[in-house]
Amino acid sequence: MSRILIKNLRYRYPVSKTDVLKGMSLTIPEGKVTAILGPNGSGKSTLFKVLIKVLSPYEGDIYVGGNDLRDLDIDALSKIISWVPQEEDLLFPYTVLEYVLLGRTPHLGFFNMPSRKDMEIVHEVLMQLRLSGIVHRKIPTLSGGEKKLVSIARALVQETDIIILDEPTAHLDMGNKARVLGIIKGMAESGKTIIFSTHDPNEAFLIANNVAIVNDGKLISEGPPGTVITEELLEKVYGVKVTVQRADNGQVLVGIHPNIFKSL
Amino acid sequence: MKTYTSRFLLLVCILIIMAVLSVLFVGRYTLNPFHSMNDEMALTIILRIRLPRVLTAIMLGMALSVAGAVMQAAFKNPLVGPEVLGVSQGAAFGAALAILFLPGDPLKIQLLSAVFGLLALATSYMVSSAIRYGGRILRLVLAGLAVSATFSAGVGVMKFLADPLKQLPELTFWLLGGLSGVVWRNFLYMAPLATIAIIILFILRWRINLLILDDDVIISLGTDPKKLRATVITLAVIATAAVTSIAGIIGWIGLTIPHICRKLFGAENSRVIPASILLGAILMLIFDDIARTVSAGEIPLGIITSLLGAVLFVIFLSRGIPHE
Repeated sequence: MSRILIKNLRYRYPVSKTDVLKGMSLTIPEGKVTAILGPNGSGKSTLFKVLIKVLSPYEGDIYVGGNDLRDLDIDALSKIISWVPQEEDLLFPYTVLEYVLLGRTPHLGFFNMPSRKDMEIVHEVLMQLRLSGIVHRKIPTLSGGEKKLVSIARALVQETDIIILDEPTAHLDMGNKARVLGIIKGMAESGKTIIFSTHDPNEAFLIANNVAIVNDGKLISEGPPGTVITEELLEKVYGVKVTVQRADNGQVLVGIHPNIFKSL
Repeated sequence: MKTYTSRFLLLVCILIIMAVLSVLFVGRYTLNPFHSMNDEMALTIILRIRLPRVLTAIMLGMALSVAGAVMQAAFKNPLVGPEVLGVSQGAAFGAALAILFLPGDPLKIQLLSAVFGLLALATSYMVSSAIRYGGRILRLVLAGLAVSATFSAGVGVMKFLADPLKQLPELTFWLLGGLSGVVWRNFLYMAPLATIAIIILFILRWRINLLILDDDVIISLGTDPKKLRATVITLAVIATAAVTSIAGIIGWIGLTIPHICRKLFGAENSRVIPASILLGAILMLIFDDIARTVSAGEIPLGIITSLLGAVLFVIFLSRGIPHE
């Protein structure tokens, strides 16, 4: 069953003369991890911003759980989709607890303050993500990995069915990358529909059930990682020779082909 | 943190009551609180002169501090305040226009100072997006400087055009800022607008936290950032203009008080906003006390707040900008 259905989506930034999304069609299955894989500038972030109604108007159709996105206002949408941007610029020194609590906004009236129940939900999520030890730390003092986990916690307390993450592992070291990918996989196992973007095909192999390869504002291929991610397709999309190898333990590894350096 | 906050609130409430009593009974004409009830002269002084002044000082401190706190959140910039963004000079220009061309009605001063305060703010915001130099904070401060300078040139022109016997003293008094001569009528003109704006901002104190997030995140949380920002900035300017139309230009309070509160209680606005309201009230009462009593003639309040506000600002800023 599909959670999000995108048909022939076109989007153009107001000042631009060309479309960034050029008739993209895509199906996001429910309760699975979908990786959007593509090079820089392929339209991944633009697609996400159209989906959370930051960018509009668009041409084509988007259905979220059977509803036309155009009929959902941002208030209704905030109870269905939560969003984790690539980076957040926080100038004021809010504590982790104060910041994560902001994720409860969609469930509160305009003039209301968070209740004890909201606080309990926040503490529960922070415990699940093993962040209980840093609840009173100030956001600007956190490491890159901790900041990312705190952003994910903010999205989780929103209690939505769908979570969209824009390059969640960008700028993270290997340990933090593994931790974030593990949390994403766990979220899907608990029934959430996850969409995340990445440059790295290895991440798609590690945790995604479904991969959508996009390039130049269009969908190139869609399906399980094992069938979609091939040397030919990656070479076409990234413009560089790559190798896709299966290790003895079954893990698939994608890398730049060493031969290309000989010809440089 | 919780007990620390409630202890502070209790302390501030006691200080406010003490300051109110001291302002009521101490002054050029010192009154004995135990005999005042039977003394007709004392009652007249308290009820007709000192009480409206005390209430106006409290409202002035509350309005400027809360306006500063919410503007800093709305512009995601800890260095802005009504005076930095040109609101004070814009309001001064509006008031000068009203004093010169629409004399005799404080309501017109209030209205024109609010309109020009908002206009100055909108201009600063637009100019800052046109500047191609520095980061977001620096651009906004630079734009505010330019807009302030433009409006203060306008105020200069108004001074030049003013009748030196009738209009210039009124204008000069207004530009230096002060509460001498405040009577019930002034207070009642200003109080409803300022009170409504302060109460709504107080109720919205948690929601205002959203403005520190990036716009895409605010939208994903179901709130329109532009509408929220416009609402709180308009309320802040209304509160500022309402008190400014009575007290004139009172600098440095809107910038300094929220900084002190953030240092003491953390950055979250459901603490910063009430703390700013209370601390603004108490400091303004103390500053007005100093303005009334420190010399034989009254010193304009604006001079005291600029001097002491700036000193406090430097003290708190030199102990680190609230980043860490």
